[in-house]
Amino acid sequence: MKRTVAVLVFLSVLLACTQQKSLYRKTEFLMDTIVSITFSSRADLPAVDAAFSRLRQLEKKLNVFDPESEVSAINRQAGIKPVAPSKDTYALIKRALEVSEATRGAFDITVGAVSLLYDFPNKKIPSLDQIKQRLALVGFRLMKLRKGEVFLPKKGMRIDPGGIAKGYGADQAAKVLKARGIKHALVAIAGDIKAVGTRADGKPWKVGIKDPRGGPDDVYAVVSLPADWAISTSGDYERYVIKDGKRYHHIIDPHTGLPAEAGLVSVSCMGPEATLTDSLATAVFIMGKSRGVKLAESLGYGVILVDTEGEVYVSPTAKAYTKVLYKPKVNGL
Amino acid sequence: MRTRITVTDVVVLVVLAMVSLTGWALAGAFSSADSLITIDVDGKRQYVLDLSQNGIYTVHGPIGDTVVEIENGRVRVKSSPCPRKYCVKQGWVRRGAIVCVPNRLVITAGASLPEGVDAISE
Repeated sequence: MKRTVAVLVFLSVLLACTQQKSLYRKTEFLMDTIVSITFSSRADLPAVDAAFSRLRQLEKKLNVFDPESEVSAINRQAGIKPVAPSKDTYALIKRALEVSEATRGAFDITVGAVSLLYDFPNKKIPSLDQIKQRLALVGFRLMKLRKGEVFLPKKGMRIDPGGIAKGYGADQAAKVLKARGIKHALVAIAGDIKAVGTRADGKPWKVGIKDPRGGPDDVYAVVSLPADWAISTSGDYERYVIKDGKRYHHIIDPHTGLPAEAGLVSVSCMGPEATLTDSLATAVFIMGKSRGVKLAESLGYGVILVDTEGEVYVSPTAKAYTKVLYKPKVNGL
Repeated sequence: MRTRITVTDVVVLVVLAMVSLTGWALAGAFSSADSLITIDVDGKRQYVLDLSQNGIYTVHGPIGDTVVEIENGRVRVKSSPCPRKYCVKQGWVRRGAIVCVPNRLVITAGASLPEGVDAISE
Protein backbone atom coordinates (compact mmCIF):
# COMPACT_ATOMS: atom_id res chain seq x y z
CA MET A 1 0.00 0.00 0.00
CA LYS A 2 2.78 2.43 0.98
CA ARG A 3 4.53 1.71 -2.29
CA THR A 4 1.33 2.41 -4.28
CA VAL A 5 0.77 5.70 -2.49
CA ALA A 6 4.38 6.68 -3.19
CA VAL A 7 3.90 5.89 -6.90
CA LEU A 8 0.66 7.88 -6.94
CA VAL A 9 2.33 10.92 -5.33
CA PHE A 10 5.27 10.68 -7.76
CA LEU A 11 2.93 10.50 -10.77
CA SER A 12 0.84 13.44 -9.51
CA VAL A 13 3.91 15.61 -9.10
CA LEU A 14 5.16 14.56 -12.55
CA LEU A 15 1.78 15.38 -14.11
CA ALA A 16 1.67 18.78 -12.36
CA CYS A 17 5.18 19.64 -13.59
CA THR A 18 4.36 18.63 -17.16
CA GLN A 19 1.17 20.66 -17.15
CA GLN A 20 2.92 23.79 -15.92
CA LYS A 21 5.60 23.65 -18.57
CA SER A 22 3.42 22.74 -21.56
CA LEU A 23 1.68 24.99 -23.98
CA TYR A 24 -1.14 23.62 -26.08
CA ARG A 25 -2.66 24.95 -29.22
CA LYS A 26 -5.92 24.31 -31.01
CA THR A 27 -6.20 25.47 -34.62
CA GLU A 28 -9.18 25.76 -36.95
CA PHE A 29 -9.84 27.36 -40.32
CA LEU A 30 -12.42 30.06 -39.58
CA MET A 31 -13.32 33.58 -40.72
CA ASP A 32 -11.50 32.82 -43.97
CA THR A 33 -8.20 32.40 -42.13
CA ILE A 34 -6.22 30.34 -39.64
CA VAL A 35 -7.41 30.75 -36.06
CA SER A 36 -5.44 29.36 -33.16
CA ILE A 37 -5.81 29.53 -29.41
CA THR A 38 -2.76 28.78 -27.27
CA PHE A 39 -3.43 27.72 -23.70
CA SER A 40 -1.50 26.28 -20.80
CA SER A 41 -3.57 23.49 -19.28
CA ARG A 42 -5.49 20.57 -20.71
CA ALA A 43 -8.29 21.45 -18.32
CA ASP A 44 -8.85 24.64 -20.37
CA LEU A 45 -10.06 22.72 -23.42
CA PRO A 46 -13.85 23.08 -22.81
CA ALA A 47 -13.39 26.86 -22.54
CA VAL A 48 -11.26 26.90 -25.71
CA ASP A 49 -13.99 24.95 -27.54
CA ALA A 50 -16.55 27.50 -26.32
CA ALA A 51 -14.38 30.31 -27.72
CA PHE A 52 -14.23 28.55 -31.11
CA SER A 53 -18.05 28.13 -31.05
CA ARG A 54 -18.38 31.86 -30.44
CA LEU A 55 -16.14 32.56 -33.45
CA ARG A 56 -18.19 30.22 -35.66
CA GLN A 57 -21.30 32.12 -34.54
CA LEU A 58 -19.68 35.46 -35.47
CA GLU A 59 -18.49 34.14 -38.82
CA LYS A 60 -22.07 33.29 -39.80
CA LYS A 61 -23.17 36.85 -39.04
CA LEU A 62 -20.24 38.84 -40.42
CA ASN A 63 -18.97 37.00 -43.50
CA VAL A 64 -19.50 39.39 -46.42
CA PHE A 65 -19.05 36.52 -48.91
CA ASP A 66 -21.80 34.39 -47.34
CA PRO A 67 -25.20 35.38 -48.82
CA GLU A 68 -26.87 34.11 -45.63
CA SER A 69 -24.92 36.45 -43.31
CA GLU A 70 -26.37 39.55 -41.65
CA VAL A 71 -23.77 41.73 -43.36
CA SER A 72 -24.95 40.43 -46.76
CA ALA A 73 -28.55 41.15 -45.78
CA ILE A 74 -27.63 44.77 -44.93
CA ASN A 75 -25.80 45.12 -48.26
CA ARG A 76 -28.68 43.57 -50.24
CA GLN A 77 -31.14 46.04 -48.72
CA ALA A 78 -28.99 49.07 -49.54
CA GLY A 79 -31.21 51.84 -50.88
CA ILE A 80 -34.31 49.77 -50.08
CA LYS A 81 -34.94 49.47 -46.34
CA PRO A 82 -33.23 49.28 -42.92
CA VAL A 83 -32.21 45.90 -41.50
CA ALA A 84 -32.27 44.94 -37.80
CA PRO A 85 -29.23 42.68 -37.27
CA SER A 86 -28.15 40.87 -34.09
CA LYS A 87 -26.52 42.78 -31.24
CA ASP A 88 -23.11 41.53 -32.41
CA THR A 89 -23.36 42.93 -35.91
CA TYR A 90 -24.89 46.18 -34.66
CA ALA A 91 -22.16 46.61 -32.03
CA LEU A 92 -19.42 45.93 -34.58
CA ILE A 93 -20.83 48.46 -37.08
CA LYS A 94 -21.28 51.04 -34.31
CA ARG A 95 -17.63 50.62 -33.24
CA ALA A 96 -16.53 50.76 -36.89
CA LEU A 97 -18.28 54.11 -37.32
CA GLU A 98 -16.54 55.47 -34.21
CA VAL A 99 -13.16 54.44 -35.67
CA SER A 100 -14.16 55.89 -39.06
CA GLU A 101 -14.89 59.23 -37.36
CA ALA A 102 -11.64 59.18 -35.34
CA THR A 103 -9.58 58.39 -38.46
CA ARG A 104 -11.53 60.86 -40.63
CA GLY A 105 -12.50 58.10 -42.99
CA ALA A 106 -9.07 56.51 -43.47
CA PHE A 107 -10.80 53.47 -42.01
CA ASP A 108 -14.30 53.33 -43.48
CA ILE A 109 -16.53 50.28 -43.20
CA THR A 110 -18.49 51.40 -46.29
CA VAL A 111 -15.37 50.94 -48.46
CA GLY A 112 -17.00 47.66 -49.57
CA ALA A 113 -18.58 49.37 -52.62
CA VAL A 114 -15.04 49.64 -54.02
CA SER A 115 -12.93 47.06 -52.13
CA LEU A 116 -15.24 44.20 -53.13
CA LEU A 117 -14.48 44.97 -56.80
CA TYR A 118 -10.96 43.61 -56.25
CA ASP A 119 -10.79 39.85 -56.77
CA PHE A 120 -7.34 38.90 -55.47
CA PRO A 121 -7.73 35.09 -55.59
CA ASN A 122 -8.49 35.37 -59.32
CA LYS A 123 -6.00 38.23 -59.81
CA LYS A 124 -8.64 40.67 -61.09
CA ILE A 125 -8.22 44.41 -60.58
CA PRO A 126 -11.07 46.83 -61.41
CA SER A 127 -10.58 49.54 -64.03
CA LEU A 128 -10.21 53.18 -63.00
CA ASP A 129 -13.65 53.88 -64.53
CA GLN A 130 -15.28 51.16 -62.40
CA ILE A 131 -13.62 52.57 -59.29
CA LYS A 132 -14.67 56.13 -60.13
CA GLN A 133 -18.31 55.08 -60.57
CA ARG A 134 -18.40 53.40 -57.17
CA LEU A 135 -16.54 56.01 -55.12
CA ALA A 136 -19.70 58.06 -54.58
CA LEU A 137 -21.10 55.04 -52.71
CA VAL A 138 -18.32 55.13 -50.13
CA GLY A 139 -18.91 57.28 -47.07
CA PHE A 140 -19.55 56.22 -43.48
CA ARG A 141 -21.40 59.46 -42.74
CA LEU A 142 -24.15 58.40 -45.16
CA MET A 143 -24.92 55.31 -43.09
CA LYS A 144 -27.88 55.35 -40.72
CA LEU A 145 -27.78 53.55 -37.37
CA ARG A 146 -30.89 53.90 -35.28
CA LYS A 147 -32.60 51.83 -32.58
CA GLY A 148 -30.90 48.59 -33.54
CA GLU A 149 -31.40 49.11 -37.28
CA VAL A 150 -28.79 49.65 -39.97
CA PHE A 151 -29.52 51.35 -43.28
CA LEU A 152 -27.33 52.01 -46.29
CA PRO A 153 -29.29 54.77 -48.04
CA LYS A 154 -27.88 54.42 -51.57
CA LYS A 155 -28.33 51.42 -53.80
CA GLY A 156 -24.94 49.81 -54.42
CA MET A 157 -23.47 50.81 -51.02
CA ARG A 158 -21.65 47.93 -49.35
CA ILE A 159 -20.14 47.45 -45.92
CA ASP A 160 -16.95 45.40 -45.74
CA PRO A 161 -16.07 44.42 -42.16
CA GLY A 162 -12.75 42.91 -43.34
CA GLY A 163 -10.62 45.51 -41.53
CA ILE A 164 -12.27 45.10 -38.13
CA ALA A 165 -14.13 41.76 -37.84
CA LYS A 166 -11.11 39.62 -36.96
CA GLY A 167 -10.11 42.00 -34.18
CA TYR A 168 -13.68 41.97 -32.88
CA GLY A 169 -13.60 38.17 -33.03
CA ALA A 170 -10.35 38.06 -31.03
CA ASP A 171 -11.88 40.32 -28.36
CA GLN A 172 -15.01 38.17 -28.18
CA ALA A 173 -13.09 34.88 -27.99
CA ALA A 174 -10.94 36.32 -25.19
CA LYS A 175 -14.11 37.43 -23.39
CA VAL A 176 -15.50 33.87 -23.52
CA LEU A 177 -12.23 32.44 -22.18
CA LYS A 178 -12.14 34.94 -19.31
CA ALA A 179 -15.79 34.36 -18.42
CA ARG A 180 -14.95 30.67 -18.06
CA GLY A 181 -12.12 31.40 -15.67
CA ILE A 182 -9.16 31.10 -18.07
CA LYS A 183 -6.29 33.29 -16.91
CA HIS A 184 -3.61 32.46 -19.48
CA ALA A 185 -4.32 32.16 -23.21
CA LEU A 186 -3.51 33.73 -26.54
CA VAL A 187 -6.10 34.09 -29.31
CA ALA A 188 -4.69 34.55 -32.82
CA ILE A 189 -6.98 35.23 -35.78
CA ALA A 190 -4.39 35.53 -38.53
CA GLY A 191 -2.57 38.79 -37.70
CA ASP A 192 -4.99 39.86 -34.96
CA ILE A 193 -3.80 38.59 -31.61
CA LYS A 194 -5.34 39.11 -28.19
CA ALA A 195 -3.82 38.01 -24.89
CA VAL A 196 -5.80 36.69 -21.97
CA GLY A 197 -3.58 37.61 -19.03
CA THR A 198 0.07 36.57 -19.33
CA ARG A 199 1.70 33.19 -19.82
CA ALA A 200 1.18 30.78 -16.92
CA ASP A 201 4.70 31.55 -15.64
CA GLY A 202 3.78 35.24 -15.33
CA LYS A 203 5.93 36.26 -18.30
CA PRO A 204 4.33 38.17 -21.18
CA TRP A 205 3.13 36.42 -24.31
CA LYS A 206 5.68 36.94 -27.10
CA VAL A 207 4.37 37.84 -30.52
CA GLY A 208 6.60 37.94 -33.59
CA ILE A 209 5.84 40.47 -36.35
CA LYS A 210 6.16 38.97 -39.80
CA ASP A 211 8.92 40.19 -42.08
CA PRO A 212 6.89 41.84 -44.88
CA ARG A 213 9.08 40.30 -47.59
CA GLY A 214 10.24 37.17 -45.71
CA GLY A 215 8.95 33.58 -45.48
CA PRO A 216 5.94 32.56 -43.38
CA ASP A 217 8.01 32.11 -40.19
CA ASP A 218 10.40 35.08 -40.59
CA VAL A 219 9.82 37.71 -37.91
CA TYR A 220 11.69 41.04 -37.88
CA ALA A 221 10.53 42.09 -34.40
CA VAL A 222 9.22 40.48 -31.24
CA VAL A 223 6.69 42.17 -28.98
CA SER A 224 6.22 41.25 -25.31
CA LEU A 225 2.50 41.79 -25.03
CA PRO A 226 1.32 43.37 -21.75
CA ALA A 227 -1.42 41.35 -20.00
CA ASP A 228 -4.76 41.50 -21.84
CA TRP A 229 -3.35 43.60 -24.69
CA ALA A 230 -3.78 42.98 -28.40
CA ILE A 231 -1.67 43.46 -31.51
CA SER A 232 -2.70 43.57 -35.18
CA THR A 233 -0.67 43.89 -38.35
CA SER A 234 -1.68 45.16 -41.78
CA GLY A 235 0.65 44.78 -44.71
CA ASP A 236 0.81 45.03 -48.48
CA TYR A 237 1.91 41.36 -48.67
CA GLU A 238 -1.21 39.61 -47.35
CA ARG A 239 -3.28 39.68 -50.54
CA TYR A 240 -1.95 41.31 -53.65
CA VAL A 241 -1.49 41.10 -57.39
CA ILE A 242 1.54 42.29 -59.33
CA LYS A 243 0.33 43.82 -62.62
CA ASP A 244 2.37 45.84 -65.10
CA GLY A 245 5.21 46.06 -62.58
CA LYS A 246 2.97 47.47 -59.84
CA ARG A 247 1.82 45.86 -56.58
CA TYR A 248 -1.95 46.08 -56.08
CA HIS A 249 -2.63 45.11 -52.45
CA HIS A 250 -5.83 44.69 -50.46
CA ILE A 251 -5.64 47.78 -48.21
CA ILE A 252 -7.88 50.12 -50.18
CA ASP A 253 -7.86 53.85 -49.47
CA PRO A 254 -11.57 54.79 -49.14
CA HIS A 255 -10.86 58.27 -50.52
CA THR A 256 -9.33 57.05 -53.83
CA GLY A 257 -10.59 53.47 -54.18
CA LEU A 258 -6.99 52.45 -54.93
CA PRO A 259 -4.49 50.47 -52.86
CA ALA A 260 -3.06 52.83 -50.23
CA GLU A 261 0.26 54.43 -51.14
CA ALA A 262 1.44 56.19 -48.00
CA GLY A 263 5.01 54.92 -48.06
CA LEU A 264 4.44 51.93 -45.75
CA VAL A 265 4.61 48.15 -46.27
CA SER A 266 3.69 46.92 -42.78
CA VAL A 267 1.93 48.49 -39.80
CA SER A 268 1.37 46.85 -36.40
CA CYS A 269 -0.74 48.48 -33.70
CA MET A 270 -0.82 47.39 -30.07
CA GLY A 271 -3.16 48.27 -27.22
CA PRO A 272 -5.94 46.89 -25.03
CA GLU A 273 -8.72 46.36 -27.63
CA ALA A 274 -8.20 44.06 -30.63
CA THR A 275 -11.18 45.63 -32.45
CA LEU A 276 -9.26 48.89 -32.36
CA THR A 277 -5.77 47.49 -33.09
CA ASP A 278 -7.21 45.78 -36.18
CA SER A 279 -8.95 48.85 -37.60
CA LEU A 280 -6.18 51.24 -36.51
CA ALA A 281 -3.49 49.17 -38.27
CA THR A 282 -5.49 49.58 -41.50
CA ALA A 283 -6.06 53.30 -40.85
CA VAL A 284 -2.38 54.03 -40.06
CA PHE A 285 -1.33 52.16 -43.22
CA ILE A 286 -3.61 54.47 -45.23
CA MET A 287 -2.84 57.69 -43.33
CA GLY A 288 0.93 57.27 -43.40
CA LYS A 289 3.52 57.43 -40.64
CA SER A 290 3.21 61.00 -39.42
CA ARG A 291 -0.58 61.38 -39.13
CA GLY A 292 -1.18 57.71 -38.35
CA VAL A 293 1.25 57.44 -35.45
CA LYS A 294 0.04 60.74 -33.99
CA LEU A 295 -3.54 59.45 -33.97
CA ALA A 296 -2.67 56.03 -32.50
CA GLU A 297 -0.51 57.54 -29.75
CA SER A 298 -3.28 60.02 -28.88
CA LEU A 299 -5.50 56.99 -28.18
CA GLY A 300 -2.78 55.33 -26.06
CA TYR A 301 -1.93 52.74 -28.75
CA GLY A 302 1.59 51.88 -29.92
CA VAL A 303 2.74 51.48 -33.54
CA ILE A 304 5.56 49.47 -35.11
CA LEU A 305 5.95 50.02 -38.84
CA VAL A 306 8.17 49.36 -41.83
CA ASP A 307 8.37 51.89 -44.65
CA THR A 308 9.06 51.29 -48.33
CA GLU A 309 12.81 51.73 -47.68
CA GLY A 310 12.76 48.97 -45.07
CA GLU A 311 13.25 51.42 -42.19
CA VAL A 312 11.62 50.29 -38.95
CA TYR A 313 9.94 52.82 -36.66
CA VAL A 314 8.68 52.07 -33.14
CA SER A 315 6.41 54.66 -31.51
CA PRO A 316 6.88 55.72 -27.85
CA THR A 317 4.06 53.54 -26.43
CA ALA A 318 5.36 50.43 -28.22
CA LYS A 319 9.05 51.03 -27.43
CA ALA A 320 9.23 49.40 -24.00
CA TYR A 321 7.69 46.16 -25.33
CA THR A 322 9.38 45.81 -28.72
CA LYS A 323 12.64 44.20 -29.73
CA VAL A 324 13.58 44.79 -33.37
CA LEU A 325 15.65 41.83 -34.61
CA TYR A 326 16.67 43.17 -38.00
CA LYS A 327 15.81 45.63 -40.75
CA PRO A 328 13.64 43.89 -43.36
CA LYS A 329 14.88 43.96 -46.94
CA VAL A 330 12.19 45.75 -48.90
CA ASN A 331 13.46 45.86 -52.45
CA GLY A 332 11.14 47.25 -55.12
CA LEU A 333 8.05 45.05 -55.32
CA MET B 1 9.50 -11.25 0.57
CA ARG B 2 6.01 -11.81 -0.85
CA THR B 3 3.93 -8.75 -1.72
CA ARG B 4 0.16 -9.03 -1.47
CA ILE B 5 -2.09 -6.92 -3.66
CA THR B 6 -4.80 -5.29 -1.59
CA VAL B 7 -8.23 -4.01 -2.65
CA THR B 8 -6.96 -0.43 -2.19
CA ASP B 9 -4.09 -1.13 -4.61
CA VAL B 10 -6.56 -2.31 -7.24
CA VAL B 11 -8.82 0.76 -6.75
CA VAL B 12 -5.85 3.13 -7.01
CA LEU B 13 -4.59 1.39 -10.17
CA VAL B 14 -8.06 1.55 -11.79
CA VAL B 15 -8.30 5.29 -10.98
CA LEU B 16 -4.83 5.85 -12.45
CA ALA B 17 -5.76 3.94 -15.59
CA MET B 18 -8.92 6.05 -15.98
CA VAL B 19 -6.97 9.28 -15.54
CA SER B 20 -4.45 8.12 -18.17
CA LEU B 21 -7.18 7.15 -20.64
CA THR B 22 -8.97 10.49 -20.17
CA GLY B 23 -5.72 12.34 -20.85
CA TRP B 24 -5.10 10.22 -23.92
CA ALA B 25 -8.62 10.93 -25.23
CA LEU B 26 -8.22 14.65 -24.59
CA ALA B 27 -4.84 14.69 -26.33
CA GLY B 28 -6.61 13.69 -29.53
CA ALA B 29 -8.64 16.90 -29.47
CA PHE B 30 -5.74 19.36 -29.59
CA SER B 31 -2.00 19.34 -29.84
CA SER B 32 1.08 20.36 -27.99
CA ALA B 33 2.18 23.73 -29.38
CA ASP B 34 5.06 22.24 -31.37
CA SER B 35 3.21 19.37 -33.05
CA LEU B 36 1.86 21.17 -36.08
CA ILE B 37 1.70 20.54 -39.78
CA THR B 38 2.09 23.63 -41.94
CA ILE B 39 1.35 23.73 -45.65
CA ASP B 40 2.84 26.61 -47.65
CA VAL B 41 2.34 27.33 -51.35
CA ASP B 42 4.67 29.77 -53.04
CA GLY B 43 5.90 30.94 -49.65
CA LYS B 44 2.40 31.72 -48.38
CA ARG B 45 0.84 29.75 -45.54
CA GLN B 46 -2.28 27.90 -46.62
CA TYR B 47 -2.90 25.63 -43.65
CA VAL B 48 -1.77 25.16 -40.06
CA LEU B 49 -3.11 21.85 -38.81
CA ASP B 50 -2.72 19.75 -35.71
CA LEU B 51 -1.17 16.33 -36.14
CA SER B 52 -4.41 14.99 -34.71
CA GLN B 53 -6.57 16.55 -37.45
CA ASN B 54 -7.09 13.45 -39.58
CA GLY B 55 -8.46 14.33 -42.97
CA ILE B 56 -7.86 15.07 -46.62
CA TYR B 57 -6.98 18.62 -47.64
CA THR B 58 -6.88 20.01 -51.17
CA VAL B 59 -4.22 22.64 -51.72
CA HIS B 60 -4.31 24.85 -54.82
CA GLY B 61 -0.93 25.43 -56.43
CA PRO B 62 0.24 27.03 -59.70
CA ILE B 63 0.00 23.78 -61.71
CA GLY B 64 -3.13 22.35 -60.06
CA ASP B 65 -4.46 20.73 -56.91
CA THR B 66 -2.27 18.71 -54.56
CA VAL B 67 -4.18 16.40 -52.21
CA VAL B 68 -2.66 16.08 -48.75
CA GLU B 69 -3.71 13.45 -46.22
CA ILE B 70 -3.19 13.51 -42.46
CA GLU B 71 -3.69 10.29 -40.55
CA ASN B 72 -2.76 9.42 -36.98
CA GLY B 73 0.01 11.96 -36.55
CA ARG B 74 1.58 11.56 -39.99
CA VAL B 75 1.16 13.30 -43.31
CA ARG B 76 1.58 12.42 -46.99
CA VAL B 77 0.85 13.77 -50.46
CA LYS B 78 -1.92 11.54 -51.73
CA SER B 79 -1.96 12.90 -55.25
CA SER B 80 -0.21 15.66 -57.14
CA PRO B 81 -0.39 17.24 -60.60
CA CYS B 82 3.43 17.33 -60.84
CA PRO B 83 5.05 15.20 -63.59
CA ARG B 84 7.48 13.03 -61.58
CA LYS B 85 5.42 12.56 -58.38
CA TYR B 86 8.47 12.64 -56.09
CA CYS B 87 6.28 14.15 -53.36
CA VAL B 88 3.78 11.26 -53.60
CA LYS B 89 6.57 8.68 -53.64
CA GLN B 90 8.02 10.13 -50.41
CA GLY B 91 5.08 8.52 -48.58
CA TRP B 92 4.13 9.14 -44.95
CA VAL B 93 6.16 11.59 -42.83
CA ARG B 94 5.87 12.06 -39.05
CA ARG B 95 8.52 14.73 -38.71
CA GLY B 96 10.31 16.62 -41.46
CA ALA B 97 9.32 18.09 -44.80
CA ILE B 98 7.74 17.14 -48.11
CA VAL B 99 8.54 19.48 -50.98
CA CYS B 100 6.88 19.61 -54.40
CA VAL B 101 8.95 22.01 -56.50
CA PRO B 102 6.66 22.11 -59.60
CA ASN B 103 3.61 23.02 -57.50
CA ARG B 104 5.64 25.29 -55.15
CA LEU B 105 4.40 23.32 -52.12
CA VAL B 106 6.17 22.79 -48.79
CA ILE B 107 4.65 20.63 -46.07
CA THR B 108 6.39 20.72 -42.70
CA ALA B 109 5.43 18.11 -40.12
CA GLY B 110 6.28 18.67 -36.46
CA ALA B 111 6.63 22.36 -37.20
CA SER B 112 6.99 24.92 -34.47
CA LEU B 113 7.03 28.69 -34.28
CA PRO B 114 10.36 30.54 -34.20
CA GLU B 115 12.09 30.17 -30.85
CA GLY B 116 10.73 32.36 -28.09
CA VAL B 117 7.59 33.32 -30.00
CA ASP B 118 4.04 32.25 -29.07
CA ALA B 119 2.29 33.61 -32.19
CA ILE B 120 3.03 35.60 -35.34
CA SER B 121 1.17 38.78 -36.26
CA GLU B 122 1.15 38.90 -40.03
